[in-house]
Amino acid sequence: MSSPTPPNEHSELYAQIYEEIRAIARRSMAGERRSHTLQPTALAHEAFLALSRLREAGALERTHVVALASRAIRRILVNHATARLARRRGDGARREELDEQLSDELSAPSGADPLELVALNEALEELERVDARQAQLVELRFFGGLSHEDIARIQGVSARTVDADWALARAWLRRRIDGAKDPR
Amino acid sequence: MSRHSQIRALFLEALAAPAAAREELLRRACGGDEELRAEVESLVESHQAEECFLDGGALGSQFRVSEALARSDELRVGPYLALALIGDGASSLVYRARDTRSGVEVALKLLRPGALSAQAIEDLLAEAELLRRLEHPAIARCLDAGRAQLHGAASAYLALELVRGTTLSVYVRSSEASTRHRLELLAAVARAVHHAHERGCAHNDLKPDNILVDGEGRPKVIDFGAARSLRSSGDAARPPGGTPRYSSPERRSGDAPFDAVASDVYSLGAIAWELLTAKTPDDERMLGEARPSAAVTLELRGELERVVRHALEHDPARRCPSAAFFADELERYLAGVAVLSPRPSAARRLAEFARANRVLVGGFAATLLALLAGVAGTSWALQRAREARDAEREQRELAEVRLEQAQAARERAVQGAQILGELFRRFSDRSRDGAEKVEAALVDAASALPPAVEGAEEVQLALHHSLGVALADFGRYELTVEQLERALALAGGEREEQLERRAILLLDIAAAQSLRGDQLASLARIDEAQRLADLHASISAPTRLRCAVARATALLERGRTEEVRALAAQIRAQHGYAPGPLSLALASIEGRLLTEEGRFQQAIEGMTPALAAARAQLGERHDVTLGLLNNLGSAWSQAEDFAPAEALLDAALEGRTKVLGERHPDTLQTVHNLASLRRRQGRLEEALELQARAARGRAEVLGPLHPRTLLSRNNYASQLQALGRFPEALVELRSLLASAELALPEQHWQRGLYRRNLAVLLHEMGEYDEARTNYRACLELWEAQFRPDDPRLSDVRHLLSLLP
Repeated sequence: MSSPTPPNEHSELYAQIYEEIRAIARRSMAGERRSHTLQPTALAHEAFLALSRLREAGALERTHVVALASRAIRRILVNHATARLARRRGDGARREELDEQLSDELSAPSGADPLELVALNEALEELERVDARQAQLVELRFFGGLSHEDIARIQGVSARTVDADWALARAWLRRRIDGAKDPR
Repeated sequence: MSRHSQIRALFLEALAAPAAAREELLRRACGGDEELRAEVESLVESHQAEECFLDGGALGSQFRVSEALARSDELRVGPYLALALIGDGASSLVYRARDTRSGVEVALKLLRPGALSAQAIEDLLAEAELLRRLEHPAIARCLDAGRAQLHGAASAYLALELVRGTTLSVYVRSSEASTRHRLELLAAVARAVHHAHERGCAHNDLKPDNILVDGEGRPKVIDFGAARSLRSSGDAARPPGGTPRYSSPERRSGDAPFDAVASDVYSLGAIAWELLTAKTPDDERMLGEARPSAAVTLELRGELERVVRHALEHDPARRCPSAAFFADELERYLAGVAVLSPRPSAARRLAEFARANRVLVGGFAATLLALLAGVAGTSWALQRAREARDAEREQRELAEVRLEQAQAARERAVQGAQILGELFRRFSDRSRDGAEKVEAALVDAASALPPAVEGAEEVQLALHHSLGVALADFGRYELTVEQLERALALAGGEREEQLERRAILLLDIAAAQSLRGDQLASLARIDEAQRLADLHASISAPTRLRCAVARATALLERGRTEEVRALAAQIRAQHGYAPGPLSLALASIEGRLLTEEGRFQQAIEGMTPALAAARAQLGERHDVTLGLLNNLGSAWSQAEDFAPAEALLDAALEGRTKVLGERHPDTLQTVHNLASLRRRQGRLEEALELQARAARGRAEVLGPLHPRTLLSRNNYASQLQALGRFPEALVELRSLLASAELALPEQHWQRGLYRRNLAVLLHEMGEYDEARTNYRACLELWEAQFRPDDPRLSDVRHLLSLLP
């Protein structure tokens, strides 16, 4: 199998997946705000139902769904992080009555620091230009939570290649992010 | 080999080598390429550093697409295979599922994994037990139930008859069902409920969402999750939660003895009311208290109204005795046979009226009307006395006496007119019947006032002024402006008190115009008052301060925050921190400015002592106190500290509703802010409802194109978007943008905001081209408006950069 068709963000499918996952994340976040504990089982439970509905509707390649879902998660989390940062700067509250337009962006159940997420996103965009396969690996691993075996299958490479790609991509991103954080 | 591939190969080689040998290895492999060597070395160094956030997942171990997908093939519970999620409740999820034994599709109710508990399992099985007792064509049947393993945990399932249809409210709206059909549906539902009652089961959560209508227009009652056996008693008989707006008063209050059958009947009445009046039932109060006939639409009148009101009786003992009786009554009405529901007795109606209008019943209305007539009359009396003096010179003595009397009467009348507005404000009850009566009296009075009579201008002026101010309390801003303008036309003269009064009138007019939504006119009047103050040193300090504060408020409304900031500083410099309502109002404005800048903590620190001072000096019910409650609550809300936010906003809403009425713009502002709070708390459905209420109220009171209405509509759309209801949000935002372009000046920053929000939605929906166009339009507008470092600009630029 050659390298997979890159996920197409213009597709109807992507829009659907994005919407589904966004809704799931939002619901689980609403639950979290009330109880201050995440409900991971509930999240996964609802997430796969959403995905299965999509599969039922379109008889899709699993790998495509996985890749698109990972991308959707990335975008959701990054948007959220951006909004949170904007709010920290006081930008979300421009008047008493308007304050919530930025919280339109969903609240995702992410423990990750918004600064890190936004920095990672920028670094990933750069990595995409240098080596698209490594960038996709990071997306699938970090945002989609996929194992290296799964990623190897999706990318049509050996698990060892994925391990090696990961070692480099991780080092590359870290250096890029640390460098951005702490400019010399 | 590309540079990156080269780096990759060397990097891996270096990692594989023992640490000591790396430096040598790289020197050799890179030849003289120092840049390459440095690059690989720094990567190796990065690689060796400790764990970093990249090693985990963005969502921790909580979300793995692969696992999620792997398990999507196997949502099997007992013999059922889940196909699609069709219902999404707080503690349960309902799927369309296939029975793998028979191939029949069912509605499969499962417990939400997050809400799983031993009690929840027992409750679900108990629901099945109750349902098995029932057999009625308008009740979704229980087919099967049992315990099962679900994701490795003990759980339970309930298989129900699958109803392919829509909820009652959607059905009624979308099919434009005739009144007759609506009544037939209601009767069928009531029969089903009665059937359940006969079998010893109360539903306890009847509402339009729990009634489906199938493809052939037949209703089915679903969701017996709150149902209880009528044989159980004590705590076991009291169901959890319930939906307040369809719940009986005794159930809502939570302490009266609770009769589940009577309570279900009340819910049927509430559903009927909603179906027939098309009023969304925010009007909880309307359902609970004396229900004004003004709200009754054509569909609900006469005998039918009696039937529904009978079911909605406050006192369970007087209420329609059973669901079957209710069904019978509806059918009698449909058949054109006289209904049996009693007409409320005269005594009872009087008692209800008295409860609703305590003051009016005490003769207040009559007094007011007499006073109005008297004031109007004295104008004529004075005029006649003057004429008499001129005409009847020979009776000069008598005429002088008359004139004196008339002048004395005029003095009293002026005083009377001045206290009139105060009286209205203080005593008129806000419940609808009372308000309508007083309002009607005022409107009549306004039209009955004679044109100005020479020599009686003082009376006339005071009367117009008081009437105008009183009318404003009823939201009749058009009439207010009309009355005040007439007063202003009479307010000539250069004496100090005349100038002062002119300034006050101008400010009163400005306030009414602002409430009416005419900000430009309002600002023009304020400027006029300001010019008077500039020209005449005699204008008093309080009036000057009022003028400045009004100006700041109007500018804030227009979004001209820079000017407000400067003005606020100037007022502080001139007037200092002298105690009093205006100084506190200014503190409120300053708090709002800080909140807008995101400096929540400072806003809170500034407004907290101001609120305490306002409470002590002005009382709980003063406008300024209420405004501070609102603004401080909003600041806490935006600082995401929900407990104080909730307490303050609730107090603001209660106070404003009581003092100003439900539909007053300030009350609606608090509703709006409360909606924002609910949304931050993640209580999305409540937020949507409040936002709809604010948007609707503002459209009615301020007009559909008022900037505040537009804001509420914007937030309503955001709310829809947050709930994933994209198509509806899109319709709303497009129409909002069209309204904004009609209503707002070309440079108004809100135009940019709506463009931005529309773009965000389109962005999410994958309509990238249109999203881009709108981001750009927003950016162009805002770049002309805001300082280059304004975070709003970078926000839009960033969003734009996220577009593929």
